[in-house]
Amino acid sequence: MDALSCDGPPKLIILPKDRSAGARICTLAHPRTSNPSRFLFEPEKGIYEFTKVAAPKSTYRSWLIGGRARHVKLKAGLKSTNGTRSVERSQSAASEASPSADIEHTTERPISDGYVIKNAEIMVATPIDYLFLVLTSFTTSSSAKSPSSKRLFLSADDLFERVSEKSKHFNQILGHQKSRLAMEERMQAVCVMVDAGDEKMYRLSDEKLLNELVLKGKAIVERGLPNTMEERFIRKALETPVMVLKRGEGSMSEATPSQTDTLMSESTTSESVHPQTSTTTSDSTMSVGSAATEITIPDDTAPPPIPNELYHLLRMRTALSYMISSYIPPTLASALNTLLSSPQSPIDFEPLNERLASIAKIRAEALSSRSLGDFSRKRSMYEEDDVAETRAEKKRRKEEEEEKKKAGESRGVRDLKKVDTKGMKKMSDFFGKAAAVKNK
Amino acid sequence: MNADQRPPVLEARLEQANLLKKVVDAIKDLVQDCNFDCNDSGVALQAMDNSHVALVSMMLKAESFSPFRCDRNIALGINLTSLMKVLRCAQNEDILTLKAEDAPDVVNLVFESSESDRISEYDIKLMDIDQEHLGIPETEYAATITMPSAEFQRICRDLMALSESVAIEATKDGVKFSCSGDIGNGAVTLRSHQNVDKPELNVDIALSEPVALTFSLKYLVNFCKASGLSNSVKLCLSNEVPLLVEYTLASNSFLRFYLAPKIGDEE
Repeated sequence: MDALSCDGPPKLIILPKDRSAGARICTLAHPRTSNPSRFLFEPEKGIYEFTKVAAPKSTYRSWLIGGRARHVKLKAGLKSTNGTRSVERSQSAASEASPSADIEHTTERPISDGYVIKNAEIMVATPIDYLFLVLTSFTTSSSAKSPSSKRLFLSADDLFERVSEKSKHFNQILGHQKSRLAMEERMQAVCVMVDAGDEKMYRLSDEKLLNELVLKGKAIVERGLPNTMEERFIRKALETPVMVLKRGEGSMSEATPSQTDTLMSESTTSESVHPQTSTTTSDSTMSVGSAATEITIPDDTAPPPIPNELYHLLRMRTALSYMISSYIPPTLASALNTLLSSPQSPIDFEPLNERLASIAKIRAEALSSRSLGDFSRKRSMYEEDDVAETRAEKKRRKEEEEEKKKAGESRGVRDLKKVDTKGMKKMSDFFGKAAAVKNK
Repeated sequence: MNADQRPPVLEARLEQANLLKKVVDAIKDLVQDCNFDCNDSGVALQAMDNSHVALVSMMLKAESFSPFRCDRNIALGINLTSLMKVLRCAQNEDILTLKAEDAPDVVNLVFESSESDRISEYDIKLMDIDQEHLGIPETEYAATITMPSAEFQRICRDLMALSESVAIEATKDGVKFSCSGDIGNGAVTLRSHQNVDKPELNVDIALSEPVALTFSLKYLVNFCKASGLSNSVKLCLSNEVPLLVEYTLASNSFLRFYLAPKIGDEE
């Protein structure tokens, strides 16, 4: 199909290589928001979400898409993202039909037939666990009536039907035996099951879901968080204040989800959740920083005073809160979060909480001590001490001087200050400086 | 003490401390700190108020002192409030002697009682004052009014009750001080007047062309504090130039005030 006949500008998409013929881009409800979103369905390998990788808004970049030459060049530019993926021209609207069909057309276009895409974004297909897709089915059942307390056992078919109510292309996925089996397998991992005749009935278990997420979290932590996340949520959070942050870190756990959301939308980097099962290919992350992350993290993060376990715990928590805030429906997310902070939590975050609280306290103290003489708060602690002192000294001297000046001021002089001198010219307008002559 | 060790560069003896007292008293409400520039012709002072719309120029000629000696030009930067505090320690009839060294830190004032053998001595710390000096040309004014200083003071004070500013109109018929304010308006008109018995009450108007200008009364009232220095005051006006209020002192010394007219919003 011709790209130009479709509305909306083309999008640059990076797809996994060796796609089977049945690969489709389909619209499914997003696991977190339930908004219709694009996914790549690959019957043999699983399902992929699209992650937008874009330069920050402040840097203006565009794509020029041409013929074959351009095609190769783009690939070269993306070498750092390990693994070769085909660059393909497609667009959101075109994808519904047969997206793979127009690869041939595009690659054969001469460069003069090129196209400039205003936004320099790449959509990268990254694997996503089926689990997150089916999770939406449990929320409808539980959230609609009463939260979590009254969950019914449902058959797989019923559950899938719920998903397909929201996601119009879900049935196509179900149509493939392999993917259906994979989904059922994933459901078993998070559900309590009973057998009813020849059918299995499922009921979501928060504990099991959490355990599954913890497994994923462990995998993420093992591979290391992307550099930006590591810097922002781990190192910054645990460092004792040198530069005072805007936010008190006591609220770390609440703050994290929103932070990760921003991180997502900025899309400079992203982390895909890496499932344990056979549904995905092994290289699941497609973030700008991920390649480097794996190397750097262990050594440059741990200054001696903070034990490594704390870093590990915080990474774990960051990974979990990222997953929960990005892929788990809000109703389930709150249940999971309470479970995480309860004593039954599979991971004990208590030492971390204590540490963060103490850091927050130190920061608060640093903040309050600096706010005494200084309103700009732009200076670091180190220069603060002596600079503040000299500044206070200066201020004192200035005040003293002013006071002295006031004392040396007669009442008449003070009164004259109140006189409205509007419309009166300055003496220097009439009389020149020194002996300058002015005749009138 | 300083004076004992080295002969002072400046030594000025004033028969009556009263003169300096009155001069400083008149200036101190206009200016806070100023330089007393001493040279062999006398002691001069020029300063502007904070808003720079008024200027005071004082000249105490060497002849006003007896004796007067100034070997080198020196500037004595003095806070007038401080100077006034010290001058208040002098009786009006005391003999005042000003002394200063070369590049002085202090100015030394000695008051000798004319009646008893009492001598009081004070040092005032000096300060560095960076003031611009304006050159004031000799000007032919369109109107020169000489009147009793008390009369001028009274007019200013009376009109002050009504308004912030006064319009001074000099015509061949006389000079009219008028103002209008929230409560109403008022005017005082003076005509040329010769009093043979009491020449200090003379009003003399010399006019080359009619003049009408408006001035801030607050400043004029301030100038009038010098009324005690002289029986008569001279007002010199020309359109578009500052008003000159001059108090003439003995031996060609003078105290002059200049005030910028109000332009644009005549009330």
